[in-house]
Amino acid sequence: MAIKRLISAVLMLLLVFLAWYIYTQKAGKEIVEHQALAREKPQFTELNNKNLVVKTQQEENKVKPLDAPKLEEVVEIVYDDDPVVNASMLLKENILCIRHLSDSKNYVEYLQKFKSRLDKNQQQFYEKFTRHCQELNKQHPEYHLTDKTKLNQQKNKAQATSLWGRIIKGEQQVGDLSDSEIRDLLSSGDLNILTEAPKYLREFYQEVVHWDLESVLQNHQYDYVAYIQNYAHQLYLCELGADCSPYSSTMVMLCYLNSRGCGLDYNSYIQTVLTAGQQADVKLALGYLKSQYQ
Amino acid sequence: MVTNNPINQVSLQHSAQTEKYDEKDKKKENAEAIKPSSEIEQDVGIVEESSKEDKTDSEDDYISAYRDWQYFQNCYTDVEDFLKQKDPLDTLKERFANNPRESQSEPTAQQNTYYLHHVDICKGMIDNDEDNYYTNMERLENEFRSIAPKSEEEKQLEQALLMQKQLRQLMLDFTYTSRKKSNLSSEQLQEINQQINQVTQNLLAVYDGKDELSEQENLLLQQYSQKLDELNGIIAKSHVVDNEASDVINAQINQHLVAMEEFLKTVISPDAFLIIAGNLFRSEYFQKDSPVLAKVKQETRIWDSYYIDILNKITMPLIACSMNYPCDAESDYMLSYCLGLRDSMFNQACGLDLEDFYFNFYIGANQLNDVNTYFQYMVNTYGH
Repeated sequence: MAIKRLISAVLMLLLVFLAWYIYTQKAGKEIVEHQALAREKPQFTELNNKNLVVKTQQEENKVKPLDAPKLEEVVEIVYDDDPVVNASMLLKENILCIRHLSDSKNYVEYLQKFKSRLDKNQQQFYEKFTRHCQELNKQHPEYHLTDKTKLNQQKNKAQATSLWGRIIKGEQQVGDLSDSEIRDLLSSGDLNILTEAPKYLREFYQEVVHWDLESVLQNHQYDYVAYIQNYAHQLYLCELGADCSPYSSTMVMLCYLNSRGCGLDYNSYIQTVLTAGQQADVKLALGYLKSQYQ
Repeated sequence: MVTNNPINQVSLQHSAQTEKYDEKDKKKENAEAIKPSSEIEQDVGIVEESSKEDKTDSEDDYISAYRDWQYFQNCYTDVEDFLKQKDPLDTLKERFANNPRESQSEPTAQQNTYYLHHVDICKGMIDNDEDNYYTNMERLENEFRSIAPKSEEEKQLEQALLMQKQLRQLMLDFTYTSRKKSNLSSEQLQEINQQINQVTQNLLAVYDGKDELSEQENLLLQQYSQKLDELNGIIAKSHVVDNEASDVINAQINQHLVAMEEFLKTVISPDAFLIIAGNLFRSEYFQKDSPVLAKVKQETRIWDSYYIDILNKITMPLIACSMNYPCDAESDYMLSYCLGLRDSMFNQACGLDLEDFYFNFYIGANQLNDVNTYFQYMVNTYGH
């Protein structure tokens, strides 16, 4: 019996080691290739579209991640249908519908003023989105979209059953987590964790991800790099299955920010609204983030 | 002693650089961009000597006084250090200890030299050793305001500052009119408030000294409460936004922006350019684009408002440099990057001029095309 247990333990250790080995090889390779692609800088006077570091389909295939074993299967379960996480996600995913349907007098007045400042295209989208929210509210009364207080109460009353839930509740200080614990969270492949990771793991994103990205993009304008990071992170979430449709909170915000984005899904937004240079940098940043998240 | 003489090196950059821009000299400077500290010390010495020589030439120089006043914003820490008699190099060392960008844990000899140069500039602008930062700022502003602009460039700077002030006032007026205000006259409001006071006193009198209330008293309380709700309701309902006044001010703002844009086409002063462009091309998030910004988007195909703001921070200084604004290694821009006076600090910026720093380090390869597009748009549209 003891021998059987020992064999099981050794096999488990081998599996973890194998997964870690494939992961590190892949991550290292991707970063080196991204840096090589971004190394050459054209002169200001010689600029043209040929200089842009846009990867060809062939290059894209070359850096495409291997089918690695899912790490979340072998590491500690960090999120398992935690009610705190569920409540937090419900709020995050529907925050704009919650605002559009709010019956608070002050908020209604604020929205009227907000709408009057938008352009015609955005105002039309605003109307359509409000109708979409009303429909959603009818279909899912259990979301309580008209009552943010109730949603907040649900989140506050819920008991955290996972590490991520405890972080959201403030019961687990992020500063007390080790580097490997943070990396385990990021590589869990869990949409619920990754959606709010930049908010709760802010220090890691500022002190590790941001500086790495400056090297990958070979760009040192802080705001630009942070902004490309946001776009790339959201693109990764979309690939993981996040709602990136025209009526998702992310897309509605982008519509109100840039009129040309109204009615687009996230991929179309990137292709339509961003310049070729921005798109190239988002791709590079996405490659880097994948090396951190997988 | 109050003096109108701009005395620091920043001022001198103006007198030195208003001469015709010599491309060859500039390239020569770039070639020797990162110099050993001993050479920089020599350069700094030369700058200080020439500052004494040029003192009389730059007397009553409106633009130099303006730049001194602006540069002094970088001197807050230095004034504190003077007052506490703290070694400024210790301050720089502390900045490095908290600087996550640099892998180096302490400043280089080159940064120390540039920092001492910056400290000298700040010291040169202090009149009385015991004055704090704000007193010095106020004095520098007063000195600037006391000078009458003479040349075309100086007059343009004055005009740009005036237009900026007017725009800010219009924006404030717009915010004020967008707020709800009561449409009742002050007499009507006074009367209602008197009634509210009276009813409140009556209500409190019912409670006065009583442990228990009779049925009649409870009824009276209910009536008073209803009356108070009714009176407060009248005031609340009377609060409305004066849409007509808002529209009038909005039209004035648009008219003013058109005037600023027209003025921009005539501007030869880089200081005036930076002020006007800083106001005209700024994105206001979550509201429709101004006609100027809509035109930028249409012509450059750069649609993202936030990105335009990011590009403004790079493109506008580059345009100012092309208009002979100081952009060399000792300029306000470059000292700020090298020493982290306003933004992050970059060891790579020390000893370079702005163009070299931007194109060889700061701006990424994929962003260059957008910077170029925006730059060309500005040149073609406004002739800078």
